[in-house]
Amino acid sequence: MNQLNEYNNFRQEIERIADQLCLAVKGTFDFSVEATTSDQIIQKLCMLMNFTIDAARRSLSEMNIQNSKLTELDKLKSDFMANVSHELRTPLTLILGPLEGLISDKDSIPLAHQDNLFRIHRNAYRLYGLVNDLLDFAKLEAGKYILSEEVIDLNRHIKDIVDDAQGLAGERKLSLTFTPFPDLPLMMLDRKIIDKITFNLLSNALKFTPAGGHINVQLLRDCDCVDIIVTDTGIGIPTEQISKLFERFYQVNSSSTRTHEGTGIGLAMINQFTKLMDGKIVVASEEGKGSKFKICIPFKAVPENKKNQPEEKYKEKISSFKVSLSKMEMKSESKYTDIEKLNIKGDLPLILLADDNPDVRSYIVSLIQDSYEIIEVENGKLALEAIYKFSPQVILSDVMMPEMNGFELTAKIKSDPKVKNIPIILITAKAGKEAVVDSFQVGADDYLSKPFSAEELKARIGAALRNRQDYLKIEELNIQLNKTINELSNSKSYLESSNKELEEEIELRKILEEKNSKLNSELVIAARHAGMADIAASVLHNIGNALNSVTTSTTFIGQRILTSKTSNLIEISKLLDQHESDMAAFITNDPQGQRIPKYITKLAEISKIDKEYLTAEINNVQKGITHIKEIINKQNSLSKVLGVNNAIIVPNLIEDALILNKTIYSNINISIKRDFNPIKEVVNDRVKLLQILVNLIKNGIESILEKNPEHKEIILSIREKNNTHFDIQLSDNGVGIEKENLEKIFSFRFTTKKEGHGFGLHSSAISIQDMGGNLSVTSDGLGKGATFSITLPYQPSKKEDRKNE
Amino acid sequence: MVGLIQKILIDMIKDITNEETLNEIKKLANIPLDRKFQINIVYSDEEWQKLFKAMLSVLKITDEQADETYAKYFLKDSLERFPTWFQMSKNSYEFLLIQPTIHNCFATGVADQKHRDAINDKFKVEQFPEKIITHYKSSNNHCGLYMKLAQEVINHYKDNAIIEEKKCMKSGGDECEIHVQWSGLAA
Ligand code: HEM
Repeated sequence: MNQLNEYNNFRQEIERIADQLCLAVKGTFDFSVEATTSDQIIQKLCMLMNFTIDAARRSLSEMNIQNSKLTELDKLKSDFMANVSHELRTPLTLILGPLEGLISDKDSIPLAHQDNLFRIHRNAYRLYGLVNDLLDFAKLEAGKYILSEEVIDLNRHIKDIVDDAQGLAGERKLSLTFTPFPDLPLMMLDRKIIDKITFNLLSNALKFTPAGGHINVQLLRDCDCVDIIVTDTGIGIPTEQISKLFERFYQVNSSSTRTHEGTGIGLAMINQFTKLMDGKIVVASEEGKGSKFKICIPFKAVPENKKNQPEEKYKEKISSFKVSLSKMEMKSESKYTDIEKLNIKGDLPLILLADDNPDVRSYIVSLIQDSYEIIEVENGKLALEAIYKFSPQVILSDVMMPEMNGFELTAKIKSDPKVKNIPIILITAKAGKEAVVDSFQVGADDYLSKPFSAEELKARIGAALRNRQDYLKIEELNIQLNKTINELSNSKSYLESSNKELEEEIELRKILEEKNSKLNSELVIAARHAGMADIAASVLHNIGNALNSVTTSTTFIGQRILTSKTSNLIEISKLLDQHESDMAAFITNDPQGQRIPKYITKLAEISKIDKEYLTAEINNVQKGITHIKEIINKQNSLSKVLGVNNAIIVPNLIEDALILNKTIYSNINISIKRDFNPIKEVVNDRVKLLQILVNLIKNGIESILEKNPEHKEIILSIREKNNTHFDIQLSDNGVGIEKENLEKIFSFRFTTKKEGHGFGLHSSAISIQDMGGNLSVTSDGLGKGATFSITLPYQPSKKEDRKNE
Repeated sequence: MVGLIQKILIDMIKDITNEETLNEIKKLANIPLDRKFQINIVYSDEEWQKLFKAMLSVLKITDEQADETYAKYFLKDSLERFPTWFQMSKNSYEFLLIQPTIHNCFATGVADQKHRDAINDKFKVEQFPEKIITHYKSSNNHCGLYMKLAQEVINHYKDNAIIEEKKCMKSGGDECEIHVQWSGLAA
């Protein structure tokens, strides 16, 4: 009995708690559960329930605080939007008014300015439309939009709007029809709202329906409502996105990948307007098939006292609406063409321009068409096709484009070795750090922030083009080098059969080949990343020299191997094989056999000479490669790391420089005279000095070749100048230098050579100064040779020393 | 003071002595003999202090001895009564971090804001890697009890830690500051 009582008490207690918990439905959680009981489990339960209720109460109050902050911010934002839009309308009106005056008489505008003026007009109107939308939207948001109803013949009104859009539909190869509702009576409506709704739905349908499609606007009436229905056979909307369509700022595609321009308020505004009229929207859509938007508006009959009033004139309003519809028309005079039909033949560098906005395209084209051949495409997908078809020198691409955006395009290009070296410049609406980060993260070579100036555009394209050309030069050198390496590889099996020592040489050569190809890629990367065009050019210049000498040496090696007498060994070994069974008799009695021992001795001698020659040439290759490596390291670190000083044996360094130039003079009979006098120990940047010597010797040889005298001569001398300095002089009997050019010869980009870049001497002079010395030139004039003098300290100055610490 | 504390103390006295001694203590503390403490209701702090003092004098034990015995008994009780809180924490570091929240849990059922705040404001924990600093402020002056309870928790999880009181209200500080430093906590 007692137990039953206890059980009943327990149940009652639980029920009391449950009753208190009913208060939770209020949603405010401003209560706590109380229980006076001796049962400890119920006490524990109460305590924990109270904890839970308290947690709910606290999060609710935090949320309320957040909400009121957000509402306040939202209001501020709406006010701000309204103010800004309003402020923008005044200057825009002042732009549009005079502009319209100007273009109304097309013939009075100089031809050169017509395109630009019409472009300005179209885009100013576009801006005007956007500002008006924003203003209306802000008003709606703030609940400040007041309905202003008037008498409307909706059949006629919608028909006018549809008629206005026919031109655009035709241009887009779409059929556009209107189905009126017969005998629809006049009704009371806010004309502006009807215009906005119809315009927005219609322009969306025009935007998202591919050519060949159909759009129908229909009016229907059922007892209390009138329906405006816009149906299209367009791309449709994914089911999961339909519910979000009417959210503010929502766009079916997110901002970076979205395919069409727009602010994302169009449908939100339609929604708000419809609600304001107590109407509703119904959307049905199937991806790939099309969409149907139905706006149901309550039918409001015209009151008796207004029945006899004529329909208000709205010609003016419609005309401005017409212009806003035409904002999409943006007919472009620029020559966007079907890629299949494109045919590029001009001599100018080829630029690919991808932008979906024809006005932007035609503007860019107008800026650069004198210096470049331009292919225009309207999206990333077409851009990619055109890149493979035409291999442009530079790609200029917008970020936001339909089909494939600029980021995707960049990623595609940069992941294909065949085209990844074509520089791509992204045009982005973002500015500052954001633009840099976004563009470089996707692998673009450069970027341009909108709005950009004509000068900026030209400068960026110019720089990209220079990079591209430098890259192509390196590629050419690469191909040369690889060819030589291939020749060597082909003769490898031949060499293998001769003797073991030669095999070892081949091993060595293989290692060198690997080094070569590794260096090749390093050098391509180095040149590409060197960034500034002149640094890249200097890398190329120096590497070109070194590669030439590597190429010559490897060619020599190849030739030597091909003509090597050691191949006769194979013949001998064949003979010996044949006489394996009667070897002794063959060698002693057979006249052919009798000659073999002598012949082998001779071959051994030839093979020794071959080996020595090959070793020497391979050493040259090794030197060349080491030099390339040094140059790459040097140039890679040009801007950051300063030279490393070490002891230099000047005569040896000059010999190295001669070897590195061997390509040029090995086939020409140039006499190299050396007048090397003993000097004190020299400490300085060895690599830098080597580079300078290579450049000067190359210059000397080239100027001799240009004059082509009977006796060709270069004199190199080393001598002490004073206690602290020494001189290296290089005299040639080449073309010499005109007096007035003597001073300019060391300046940037100055060259007297036909094919010269003009940076060799410039960078040499700067390098010598860095090393604490000085580079000068003397010449008796044209045709009279020249003497370049390097004066350097034995020890680097204190400053130089400190740099190395 | 929330009734759970008094209830467990009374259970303990009854367990380690007998009903008679318990009644003697209750009488000395002016607590009606038939009083049942509810674990979710707040009772007066003065009454609690008297009860605790009465226990010391009747059982003739020091503060420290009382804290130690009570801590042991309390932890055993809590492990049975609230096993989830112990299972939720994988070591004593994690448990001592949620200790103030556990206490606040008892405060939420207290209707009176002043009493509620009084419980909520007693403990504040600062968290560092392998270390916590607990700031304790209460007229009940139970920092000694805190350290014994903390030690019990550490023992329960078989962890290694050193407990030090760097500041104490009993020696004029504005609060008590207890540092617990662990070594070799399993991740
Ligand atoms: C599941 C474990 C625990 C439970 C259920 C629990 C519960 C309580 C409750 C209900 C109070 C009374 C609070 C008030 O009225 O102000 C209290 C007080 C106290 N608890 Fe705990 N506690 C637990 C663990 C701990 C631990 C681990 C420590 C120390 C490390 C601790 C230290 C204290 C102290 C010092 C007081 C006295 C506070 C004062 O009034 O000054 N408790 N505890």
